[in-house]
Amino acid sequence: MAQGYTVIEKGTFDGTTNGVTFTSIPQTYQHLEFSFAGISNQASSTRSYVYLQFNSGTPYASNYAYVGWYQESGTQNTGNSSAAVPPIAVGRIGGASSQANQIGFVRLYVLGYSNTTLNGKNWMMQSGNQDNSTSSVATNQITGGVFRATSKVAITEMQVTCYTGSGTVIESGGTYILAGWS
Amino acid sequence: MAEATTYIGNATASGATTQTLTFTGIPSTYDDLLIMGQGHNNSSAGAMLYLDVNFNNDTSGNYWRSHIVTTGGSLWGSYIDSGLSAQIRIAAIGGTQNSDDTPAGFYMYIPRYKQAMYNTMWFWNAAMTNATNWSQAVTSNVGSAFWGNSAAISEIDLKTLFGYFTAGSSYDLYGISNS
Repeated sequence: MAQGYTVIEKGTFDGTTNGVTFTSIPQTYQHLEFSFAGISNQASSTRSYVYLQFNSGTPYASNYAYVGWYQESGTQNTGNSSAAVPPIAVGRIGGASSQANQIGFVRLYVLGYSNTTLNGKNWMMQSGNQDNSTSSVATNQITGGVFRATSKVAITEMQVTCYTGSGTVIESGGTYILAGWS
Repeated sequence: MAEATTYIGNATASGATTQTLTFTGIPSTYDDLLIMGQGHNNSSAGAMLYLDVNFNNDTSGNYWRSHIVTTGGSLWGSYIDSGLSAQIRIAAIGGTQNSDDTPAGFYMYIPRYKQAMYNTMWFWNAAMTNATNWSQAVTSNVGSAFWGNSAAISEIDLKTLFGYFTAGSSYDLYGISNS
């Protein structure tokens, strides 16, 4: 019987990049699962945003729609966009460890990424961290979205980055895993 | 050592005549169950319709549910329901008023589905879009539910309240071991 979860790629950040790009994602699975644990180097910020983009050759705002709920510094908010130019900010992790913020975690599911019958791919992301510089509160964001390329193309590329400002990198030791569900 | 995850089966709508997609004969050889998939609905009843779940054909008011819904950039609402017997809504699904036909997807995790105890599930609905009504342009919900029945889950039905699943609507069932 087929195995459900298969690791496609995993790695450790070395402190020189602000994300990871997967190219030529194999089309042999039904769904993708991406996990990230790490923190950015931005000492001036309590957080870094997590950005997402699929298929770099079609960076059209009309391909992206999402809605999210987040809680930060004790305040609850929502946000959405029906036409955001990618990469789109859909999650948040902690700023620099120099502020004693705790490691952030991201989990992303991309459903039906290889399906070319339905007119869109649904994705869901949950991210969070503890922000020690703001009253030791936890930050959490839950976002759901759809990638709706009009030609019903499969997702073959995916880029996940974190960014706060110029020079943002993920600190050394952060890890990621991309897996396929078949 | 046994694999931690196993693909059990798929339920796919082959044409516009399927109102219920069913996983039957679910083996009691895993610890947890996971369903992931996407679908769309052919009904003109609305832009945002509902996807319901049922376990073991139980319609005895054994379902409790709590979830929050965000749509169009605002928190639409949070809901708590108890003693539900039908229309156990776990996700939104687009109807034909959803003009660009984008699907809605969900992730549902069911821990300890075979134990002689009350079963719980946790679900997470991805967004759907509605290009003709931007106030409901994207919808997402997160929730959990509780099935007050001590039987092992051997059948799961996914139901559309209106119309039928469109062709290509597809959901996968996995078994999780050693969790």
